Parts: sequence; C-alpha cells; structure tokens
Amino acid sequence: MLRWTGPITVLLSLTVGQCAFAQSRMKITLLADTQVVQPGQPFTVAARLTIDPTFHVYWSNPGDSGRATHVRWHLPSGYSAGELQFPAPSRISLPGGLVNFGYEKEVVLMTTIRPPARIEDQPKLTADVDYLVCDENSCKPGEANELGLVLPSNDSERQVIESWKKQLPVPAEKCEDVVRVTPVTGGLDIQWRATPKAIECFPNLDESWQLEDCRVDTTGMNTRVLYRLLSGKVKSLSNSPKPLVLAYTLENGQRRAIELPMNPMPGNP
Amino acid sequence: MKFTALFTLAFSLVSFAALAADGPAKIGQPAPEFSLKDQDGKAVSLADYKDKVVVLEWFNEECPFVQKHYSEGNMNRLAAGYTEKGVVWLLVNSTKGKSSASNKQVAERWHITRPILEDSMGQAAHAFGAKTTPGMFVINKGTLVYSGAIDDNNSNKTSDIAGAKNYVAQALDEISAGKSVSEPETRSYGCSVKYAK
Repeated sequence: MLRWTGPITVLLSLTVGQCAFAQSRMKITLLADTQVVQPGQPFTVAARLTIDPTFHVYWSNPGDSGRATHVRWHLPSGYSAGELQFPAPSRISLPGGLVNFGYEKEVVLMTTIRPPARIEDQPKLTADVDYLVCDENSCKPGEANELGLVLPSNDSERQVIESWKKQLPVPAEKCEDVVRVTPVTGGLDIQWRATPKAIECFPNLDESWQLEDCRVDTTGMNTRVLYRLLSGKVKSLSNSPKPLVLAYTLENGQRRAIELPMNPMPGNP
Repeated sequence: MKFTALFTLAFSLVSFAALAADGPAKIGQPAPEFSLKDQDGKAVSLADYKDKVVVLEWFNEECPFVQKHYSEGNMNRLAAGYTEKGVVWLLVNSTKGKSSASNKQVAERWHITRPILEDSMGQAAHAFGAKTTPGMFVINKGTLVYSGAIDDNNSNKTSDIAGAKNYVAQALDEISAGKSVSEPETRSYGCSVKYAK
C-alpha cells in the first residue's frame, strides 16, 4: 500500500449561515443580484473566487494544462439554472512556452436562475465549486461543497455582479463594437466600429472539434482571426459550445469580449 | 564516465536543436531520439528500442493528477500488464530541479520498477511537445502513433479511473492486434510540465 505524502485537501465544514470558503490560495463567496426571489423573475447568482497572488484558476478551456472551474447550483424543485457563464479569460504564460487560459486575483462565475411561476418561501440555494488552483510550480485541486447563498444581497454584491457582467462574451452579431463578421479561408474577418486595443483570441473546446493556434492580425478597422482545426478525430474533455472568444480593450480601458462562430470551412492556414 | 555525460549532453542538445526548427513530434512521423539517465544513472536511449512498442509517460510525483494514477497502484498495474507482453514503458521526469537521486527515491516510495528518466532541462519534453503530467506518447517501431491523455476523465480522483476510457490501453491493444490506432491524438490533461525554461 502506498503511503500518502502529497498535500491533502482539507474540506472545511461550514456552520449555518456562513457563506465563505477559505483555504490557502483561494477564498470563495457566493453572491446574488437580487434582494428577494420573485416568482418567475430570473436573477443572477455567482461564485466569487478571490485568488492569492501568483496563483490562477481556469477558463472553460484551460489551455495547455489545468482544468476548468465548475460551479454547480442545488435548487429547489421548479427552479432551473442556466449554464455557467465564464468572463473573458487572460493568457497566463508558464515556463517552457506553455500558456494557460484563466484568471488571476479574482473572477466571478455567474449563473442565471429561473424561479417557478409560483413560490411559497424564499428558496435555500447552495453551490458546489470544484476547482484547480495553480502557480508555475504546483497545482492543487479542491472542492467547496454546499456553500450557502445568503439573501438579501447587499449593494456591493450587486455592483460586483454588474461589473463582471460587462466582461461576459456577447455574440458578435449583438455587439455594438462590431460592424460585421465575414468568413475567410482558415478563419474570420471582423470589421470594427472603432479599432480596440489588446485583441486576444481564446479558442474554446467541444466534444467534436478542437481549435489551436488562434492568431489575430489587425490592420486599420479590420482584424483577421486565423486558427487551425486539429487534424484527425480529436476528442476533448469539455463540452462548451462557444467556439471562439475574442477579448479586447476599448479606448476607455474597459475590457470586453465577443463570441465568434466557427467558420464551417476552417482550412489550414 | 565524464566523457559519456558530456557526449550525452552534446547529443541531446544537437537533437533538440534539430527538432526545434520543425516543432514538436507529429503523429505518423519518426519519434525524436533521446538519451537520458534512469534512476540508477544508466543511460537509456530510444534507439535501443527501435523494434519495440514504447510508451513514454511524462511524470511528476508532486502533481495531483499523477498521484491520482499512483495512489492505488493503477498506473503500475496498467504498465505491468503491457510490459509482460514486451512493451517498453518509460517514465520521463522533466520537472526542473529533479535528479536521478530524487527519481530513485520516488521509484522506491511508489513501487515503480520501470525506468524514470531524468530530463530536468526539458529537452525531451520540448522535442515531444509534452505539456502535461501525466502526458502519454506511444511509439511503434520508431514512429509516433499516439499522443495525449492517459484516459478520458480529467478529474483528479482515483475513483474516476475505473469508469474512464484508457486511450493508451486502447492504442496498445490496437497495435498488438495489427490495427492502426483509432484515436491517435487526444487532449492531455493534468499539471503543466514544470519546465526549467
């Protein structure tokens, strides 16, 4: 029998009413954007991850290594939850030329909750967060189970959610910064209303395809996005439906992101 | 002894430089050559096994995803099943700062009887394009035929191994049945290879 010498993940048991989970490397709190749950009125709940300096957690496509963060909400019957919404990630460079897609310092992972048309009491909402937190030297997986959401939420919680909502990717056709998207061999052309700065491409993952080597080249008001569809039958480990996310920074310093469709004829640039 | 070490180093640098120009190893192409020291200080070259089926397992005992496959002996059992049939199974530790001595310690502690090759400068890892631990490569008579994950469940829990589809076992079984590898490239998961640079 192997004697265990690695670090052991300690799960903290929480006392009633407590909504924070703290460990070395990371703290997790749950937030909501509503004071009370109204029948039939969708609202946003979120897990706020406050990450220690030098560490990072992962986007839906973690990049060259790592694992996506998962948040699972437990709901009373009649309630439904939308999919986990990931804000635009950052590129995190590691030694050896490896790149991770994820978040440093803080991220707020949101979910839309739909209550039923009729409710009797205010619901009890809890969430499980499953994560991998790494720096360039080590990785630590962990889970925080049955964290409780405390309602009513306060103003600062609602402000946090509002500010992170601005970093959620929106479909390109609904984005006011984009004039049009045109498929080209091996990628897409984007025409901007005003050319943004710091344009970065993040290929996502799916069961049936995997994009690699996404590159952007901007001239004037146009950005060409080129990527490679990995040859052969490549199976991935996530099932996110968003092919590409393009993050960019506006003149006023605000970071935004759009979702791009996959060109059905990606070619091989 | 000193001469051998120097020669090995020079050889690795040359082969690394040659490969860097073309990028990492590709499926269906000749696997990059290497010569690395095992936990007993003995040099092991891929060229020694050019008529064999070779599994390369990127390894770092500090990685929770590697620990997943060793804490209840799963990787050792899987490897033993195939080495009995003549497959060569080599571990490569490209973690910065690791040595043959530290590899020997972990081999004893984790009951690993296969060679653990010391690649702390990352030359072999770069040549193969190894990104994660665990990270798996299968070479059939000198040709790279599989690169990717050990299995299709990227959790770090040992209890998830039983229900997962093992890509390496699938590739090895297909090779021994004279078939081509049906899923030659998968997305590997785990910790990043802790490159020195």
